[in-house]
Amino acid sequence: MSQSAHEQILDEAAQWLALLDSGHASAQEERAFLEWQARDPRHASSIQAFKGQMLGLQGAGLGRLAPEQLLKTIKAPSSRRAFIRNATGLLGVSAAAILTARALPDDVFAFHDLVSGTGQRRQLQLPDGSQLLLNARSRITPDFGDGNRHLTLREGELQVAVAQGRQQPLRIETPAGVVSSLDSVLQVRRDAQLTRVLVLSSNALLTTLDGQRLALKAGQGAWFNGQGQLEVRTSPPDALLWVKGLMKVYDQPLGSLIDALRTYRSGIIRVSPQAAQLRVSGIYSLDDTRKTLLALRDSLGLEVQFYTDYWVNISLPERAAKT
Amino acid sequence: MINPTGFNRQFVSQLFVTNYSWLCSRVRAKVGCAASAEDIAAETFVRVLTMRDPGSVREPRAFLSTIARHLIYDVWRQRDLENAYLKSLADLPEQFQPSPEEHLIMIEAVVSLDKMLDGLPGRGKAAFILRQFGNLTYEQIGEQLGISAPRVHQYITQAYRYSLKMLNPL
Repeated sequence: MSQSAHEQILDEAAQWLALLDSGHASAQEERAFLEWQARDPRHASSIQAFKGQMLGLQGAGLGRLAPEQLLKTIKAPSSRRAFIRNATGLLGVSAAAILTARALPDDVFAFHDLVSGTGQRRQLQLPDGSQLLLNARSRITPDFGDGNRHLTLREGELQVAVAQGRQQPLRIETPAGVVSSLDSVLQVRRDAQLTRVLVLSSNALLTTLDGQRLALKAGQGAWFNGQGQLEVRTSPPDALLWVKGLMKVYDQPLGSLIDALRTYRSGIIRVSPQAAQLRVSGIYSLDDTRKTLLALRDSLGLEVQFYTDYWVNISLPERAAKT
Repeated sequence: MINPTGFNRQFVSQLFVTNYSWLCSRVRAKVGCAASAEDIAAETFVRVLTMRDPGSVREPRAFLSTIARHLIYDVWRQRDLENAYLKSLADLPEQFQPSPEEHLIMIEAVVSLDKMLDGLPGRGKAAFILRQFGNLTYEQIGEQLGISAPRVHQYITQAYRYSLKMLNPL
């Protein structure tokens, strides 16, 4: 590829990313972006390289630093300039081109993955017209080329309202099994041990990795691991809460509620072991995690220290901890 | 990743035999520490090994020096970043200090972010970081930096261009 063609692709990619980031992109533009990615694998891979890198940085914990702190660090003056001033010529000889091999996380992130960040639910229209909602910290790979209707859920949770009137069902794949439907509203979630499919309307067909096939009706849910385990139950009534940015707990340890909050909050939340054992019940906001933490403080009599918004410490008050 | 052809391997080992001690002493004169000098010299040869066509190098010593110099810059930049990061932590109470593991991973990530944004003006870096890590809108970023939202959009586009270029070498 010529240098200018390469640069043009990166230029377009930069403009797309900045437009989508602005929050002012229309649904039409979001769709056009997906089409742009589908048009040329180099388009998709440029985006993929960027998203992979950002996820890596977030995973390493940069998301837990206050951005101001990160900024101050990055703006550190460079002693390289001082070196060039003071010592030009010591090592310096004629410049030669340097080719650096750079390792890209190409095996980790597939082409044109759709990703949601911490505390971000993303709503998207898929190329076939289906409406997709990604829960926080989720990742999918769409495949709508050659008449395919296929999503792979890599991480997290999604809800999809399948566009009706097609011959071919929409297929959602996970390592534990595949669910397909012509017209339903579905939720699929990957947890560490189990994968969960909930059918909210119409019906869907589940095929687990170990070959079990099962028709699910509206109001039913299946919990499975693809290795023999498969359980069908009524879908829990609070399944729609995350869609609205809410979370319900009933008599659960505080620690597990805080774990759930982490996907919705940038920063470190530390909970003392004693506080983590407290039982909690209630409906809490996922979108306003600060409010949730303050509500917990007030209802449970906890000590909640905010040290900047990025470092939160939760413990029992001194007196209570001793008794 | 390192998969040199027979010819290149032979060429590089020849290069190594002829120039390794020379390069070590050269680097040591600059960094003042024998151990890190050897590390940098060794890394220099690894870079040569991963090149597409090391056989095309005409002035090996000039070439090796250039690579080594860039590696020294990298080491120094990393030290600058680490110092700045530690300084920013110094004000935090002890219970908020990251663990040593968190710390190492963090430094590494800061270094690669720094590389990604290398060359951008300060405001471009600021806009990008506030967007990516602070989740602020362009409007909020504009307020914080004292510029208009469309200007923020321009800075962010530029930041994307830099980082995409860095992540997608031709």
